[in-house]
Amino acid sequence: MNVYLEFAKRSFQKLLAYRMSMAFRLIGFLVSLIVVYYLWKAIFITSPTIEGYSFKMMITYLILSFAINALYDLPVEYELANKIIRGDVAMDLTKPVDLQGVFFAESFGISVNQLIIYNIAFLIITASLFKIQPPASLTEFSFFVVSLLLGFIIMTAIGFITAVICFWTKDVWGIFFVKQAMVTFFAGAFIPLCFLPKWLENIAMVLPFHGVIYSPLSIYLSTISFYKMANLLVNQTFWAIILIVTGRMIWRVGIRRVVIQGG
Amino acid sequence: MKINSPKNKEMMVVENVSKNFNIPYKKEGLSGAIQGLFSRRYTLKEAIKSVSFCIKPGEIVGFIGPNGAGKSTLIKMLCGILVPDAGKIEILGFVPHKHRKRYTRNIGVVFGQRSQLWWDLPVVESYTLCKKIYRIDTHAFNERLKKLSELLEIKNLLHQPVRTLSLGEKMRCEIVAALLHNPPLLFLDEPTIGLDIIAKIKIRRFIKEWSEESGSIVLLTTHDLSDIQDICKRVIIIDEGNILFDGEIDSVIKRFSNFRRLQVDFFQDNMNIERVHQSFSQDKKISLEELEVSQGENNSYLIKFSQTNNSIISLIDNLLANFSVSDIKIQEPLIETVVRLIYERKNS
Amino acid sequence: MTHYVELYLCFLSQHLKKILEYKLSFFIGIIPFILLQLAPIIIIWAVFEKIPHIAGFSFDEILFIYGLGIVSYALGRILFSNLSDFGYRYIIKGELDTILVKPINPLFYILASGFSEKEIGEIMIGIILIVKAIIDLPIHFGILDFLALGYFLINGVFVYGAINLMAITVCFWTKDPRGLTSPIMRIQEFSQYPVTIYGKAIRFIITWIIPFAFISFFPATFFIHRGEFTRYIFCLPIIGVIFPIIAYLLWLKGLSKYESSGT
Repeated sequence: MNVYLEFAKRSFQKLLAYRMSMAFRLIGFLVSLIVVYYLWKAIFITSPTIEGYSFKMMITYLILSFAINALYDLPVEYELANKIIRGDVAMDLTKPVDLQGVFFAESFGISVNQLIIYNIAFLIITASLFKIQPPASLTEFSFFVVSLLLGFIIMTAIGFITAVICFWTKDVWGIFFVKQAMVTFFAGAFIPLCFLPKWLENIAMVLPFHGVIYSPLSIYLSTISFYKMANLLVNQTFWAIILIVTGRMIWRVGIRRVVIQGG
Repeated sequence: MKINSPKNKEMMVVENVSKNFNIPYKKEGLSGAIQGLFSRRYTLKEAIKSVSFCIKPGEIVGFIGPNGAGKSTLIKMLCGILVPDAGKIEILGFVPHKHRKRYTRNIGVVFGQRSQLWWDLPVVESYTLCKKIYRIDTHAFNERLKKLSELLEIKNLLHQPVRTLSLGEKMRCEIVAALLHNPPLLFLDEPTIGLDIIAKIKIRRFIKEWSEESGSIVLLTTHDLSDIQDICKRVIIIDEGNILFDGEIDSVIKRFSNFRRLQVDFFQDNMNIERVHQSFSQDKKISLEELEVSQGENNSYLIKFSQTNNSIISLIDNLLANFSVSDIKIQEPLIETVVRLIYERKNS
Repeated sequence: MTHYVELYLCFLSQHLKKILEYKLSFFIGIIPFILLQLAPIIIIWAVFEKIPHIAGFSFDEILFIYGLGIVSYALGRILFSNLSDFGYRYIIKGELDTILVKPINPLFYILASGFSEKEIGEIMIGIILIVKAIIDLPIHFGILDFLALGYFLINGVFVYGAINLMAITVCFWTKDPRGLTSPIMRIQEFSQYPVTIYGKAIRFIITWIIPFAFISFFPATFFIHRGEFTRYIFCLPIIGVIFPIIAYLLWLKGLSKYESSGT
C-alpha cells in the first residue's frame, strides 16, 4: 500500500506547480456558473418548482456538480494513454506494481489536491455569492460521501478504460474529448437527469455515468426516498466492480499485444 | 525590383551598437509571485556592449561565441527583429528595424531550430508561398527553384511532406526557401545544429559555392568551429557582449586552436608511449616538434599535436601501418576552449 | 492590398490541401465539437418542455440567438485560430522571429497562416438551428435580411478578433504563454443567451467592456424583431470599427515592446 501512497503523493505535488492555470480554470468555472445561475433564475421565474427542484436546489446542484467535475482532471489518463501510444508502457511492466493500482493512486492524489486547493476556494467563493442548500441530515451527508467515493471509482475506472483503448488507436485527444462529452452529459453535469425527456433519462440511468454526479447529488439534495438511495449505492457499487474488472481485462489483452508484437 | 546599391563598398555597417535587457528579478515562492505583481525589480543585462564592424560584398562571416554571449541578440538586430538601444546599423542602405518591410525583402534567414516550412504539406507548397510573399515572378521563380534544388540535391524531396524528411534534408529545403528571392544577404543561425557530418558537409559546400557565385554576403552563427573553418574566411568571436576577435579564421586557428588531440585505442597489449614515439620518429612526414603522447585509460593513448608541424592524415597513416588500432577519435577544440585561450592571451 | 488578398487566398488554399490530405482526421476532428454543442441545445430543449418561455423569449427565439452565437464564434475561431496558442508558439517558442524577417505585416501573417477547420461541424449545427427557428417563427427572411446577416457576421468576426487580440497581446508584457484568452473567452457564454436575464453589471461588461453581446445577441434581436434593442444595432458598426482599432494599436505597442526586449 505504501508504494501507492507514494504515487498519490507525487501526483499531488506535480499539480501544485500549475497554480496559475488553476486560477484561470477557477475563473472559467465561476464565469460559467454565473451564466447558468442567471439562466436558471430566468427559468424559475415562470415556475417556482420544476420536477421537484426549487431554484435554490438547482443552484446547489450546479455548484456541487461543477465542484465534482473539477475533481476529475485528465493528466493521469493522458499520461497513461501517451505512454501506451509511444510504447513506453513496457517500461512500467518492469516495476513490481499493479498498473491499474498506480493509476487509481495517482488519480486519487490529483483529486485530493483539487479538493484541497481548488474546490475549497471554489466552494467558499460560490457559497458567499449564492445561497447553497445544506444537506438534509447527517445520514444523507454520509450517504453522499460514500456515493461520491463510489463515483470517483467509477470515473477513474472509465478513465483507465479510455486510456487502455489507446492500445488500438493512434489518437488520444479525440477519444478523450468524446469520452468527456459523453460522461459529463450522461452524468448530469449540466442538468439533473430528471429534467431530460423520459426516454433520454432512461438511457442515462442504464449507463454507469450517472453514478459520478447525478446519484451523489440526488442523495445530497434528498430528492429521493431512502429506499432509492440504498438502491443507487448498490447500483454504483455494481458498476464500480464491473468497470474495474473490464479495465483489467482490456489491459491484459492490450499488454499481450505489446509483449507479443513488440508495440 | 531594384536592390538599393550602397554608396560605399561596405554593404553592412555596424557602429557602436549596444543593447541592454531588463530582466525581471523574480522572488521565489507564492509570496514572491504576489509581490512581483505589484512591484517589479529589474536587473540590467548588457547583452551587446558597443560593437562595431563592417562587412563587404561576397564575404562569408562566421559569428561564434559561447551560449549567452550575445550572438543571437546581435543577429536579431541585424535582421531587424530587435531594435538597438544605441549605435547605428546600416545594411544595404537600410536601417533594418525602421525599413523592415523593404529591408527583409533583401535578406534570407534560416533559423536552425525553427522551421519555416509547412510541416504537413509537400515541400514545394512552402515554396509557392514564398513566391507569393516575396512577389517573385514566375519565370525567375521556376528557374531559381530548378537551380537551387539541383545544387542542394532536393529534387526528389520537393513533393514529399516536410514531416517525412530527415533533419539534414529539411535543413537543405529550408535554405532553398530562404534563397528563392535571391537575397544579397543571407543569415544562417545554427544551420548545422544536430546534423550528421555528411549533411553538414553538403550544406557547407553549397554555402561556399553560392556565395562565390552570387557575390552575396553570408552571416552565420554556429557552435561548430569546423563549420567556420570550412567556409568562412573571416570570423567574429563574441563573448559577454563584446567582440573578442575579428579577423581571418586562419589566424585564429594558428594562434588559438592550433592543437588537435588524437585519441587512439590499440588492440595490442604491449603498447607504451615509447613505441609510439619511436614509430613517429622514423616517419619522414612526421615532426616530433610540439607533439606529445600520453597514456589514457586502458589501452588508449592521447596524442596532442600542432597543425603547423603535422597533419592528421600522416599521423593516422603511420599508426595504422605500424600498430593494430581498434579506434581513433579526433578531438576538435571547442569554442569555449578557443574563447578561453583568447582571454588568457589577452590578459597575459 | 491586392497582394495581401492574394496571399490570404494562397494560405487558405494551402490549408485546404492540408485538410484534403488528412480527410479522415478532419471528419473525426469535427465530431467532438459537434457533441460539445449538442449538450446545451438538448438542455435548452428539455427546459422548454417544462416552461413556455425564458425572460419573454420563446424556444425558437432562444434557438435563433443561440444558433447565431454558435456560427459567429465558430467563424471567429476558424479565422483567428493562430491566436489561440499565440503566447506559447510565437513568444516562448520564438516563431515571431521567423515572421519578423518577412516583408509582410506580422499580424497579417499570423492570422493568415492558420485556420482551424474543426469548427465547421459547429457552424452546421448553428445553421440548422437558425433555419429551424426561421421556419417556425412568424418572421419573413428576405434578401435584405441575408445581407444584414452577412454584415453582422463580418462585423462580429472583427469584434471577436479584436477581443482575442487584446487578450493575447498581454503576452508581450507577461512573457507567459497563457495571456488572458481563456478567462476572457469564457465570458462569451454570456452572450449566447438573452442579455436581459443578467444583472446590470454583467450586462454592462458584455456590452461595452468586452462587447460579446454585439457579436451574437444584438444582431439576433434584429431578425426576431425585438424593437427594444434597436439602439444597440445602431452602435454595432461603431463597435466593429473602434474595438479592432484599439486592439491593433495595443498590438503595435506590444510588438515594439518585443522589438526592444526580445524574449
